[in-house]
Amino acid sequence: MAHSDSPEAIRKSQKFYIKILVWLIILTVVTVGAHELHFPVPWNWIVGLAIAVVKAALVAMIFMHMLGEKLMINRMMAFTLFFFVALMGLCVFAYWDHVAPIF
Amino acid sequence: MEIPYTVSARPDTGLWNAKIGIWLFLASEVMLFGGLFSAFVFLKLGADANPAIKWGGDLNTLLGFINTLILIGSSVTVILAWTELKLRNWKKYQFYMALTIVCSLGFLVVKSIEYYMKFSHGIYPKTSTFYSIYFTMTGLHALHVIGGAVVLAYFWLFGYKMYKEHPEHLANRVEVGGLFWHFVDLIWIFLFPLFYLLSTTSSIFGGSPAH
Repeated sequence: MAHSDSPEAIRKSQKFYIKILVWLIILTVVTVGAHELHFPVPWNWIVGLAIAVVKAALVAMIFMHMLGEKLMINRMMAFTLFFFVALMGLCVFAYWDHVAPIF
Repeated sequence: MEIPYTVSARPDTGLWNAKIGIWLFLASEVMLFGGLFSAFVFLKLGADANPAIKWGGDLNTLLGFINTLILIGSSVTVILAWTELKLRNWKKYQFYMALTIVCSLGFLVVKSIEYYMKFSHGIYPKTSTFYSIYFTMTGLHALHVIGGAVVLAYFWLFGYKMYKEHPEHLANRVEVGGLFWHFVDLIWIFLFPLFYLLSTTSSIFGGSPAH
């Protein structure tokens, strides 16, 4: 995970993880706050999922150390993410898919 | 027999064996949950197109919020446990790992309360398409929490012998377990808004449903 194993670097990273925890809590509160504001559709979905993406990115990049991870891992996960997004895209595109009447 | 590259990195990839293994596993997990997320999207869009289908349920937002905080907290405690292991502080490692396990149990207790409240009000997966996907996704996620907690508890209870003989081996194993744990947290980060905020009308401040 960490890319420097010196005790000083590890202790420094511990403080950084606590800061990220604070940000994750703040973003969770913001998500709930946005829900309470009752944004109209589709803005409630856009806001809710956008905050979730930011939180997920923080977890993946900082806690899972994808930021600074070996290129092989990042390529592998980028490949996976591509297919995940494609899968979601197919679902959403189906919403606008209109089957023409046969007769 | 000594298995190579358990601690040292392979010369061709620059990674040690279990690191590649866990990331490949997590990639397969992304697609497992991806299938379920796409099912969620299909069911939601289908419900939007058909007024006869009722979408959404009366989920307890406050309990979902508490569980989110618990999992986020446990993500930090597991990484702090790993850093203490790297610093060769066994006692602190055990403390943070114990906190992680307590968090995982707390999450499961809250989830069980939620399920109990639903079942006691006659709400089951068959009740509606919304509840079928809700129980499927949160149930599968809970199974992941149980699996992760069992692995981390094993390192917490039985890791001392390995720590004395090969501390870096244990650090690597805890790192791999930690990566899985972060992934479990990451999935919940999406489940919480999708089910508890965007598919429910209840408020965190009350006005919450009886079930």
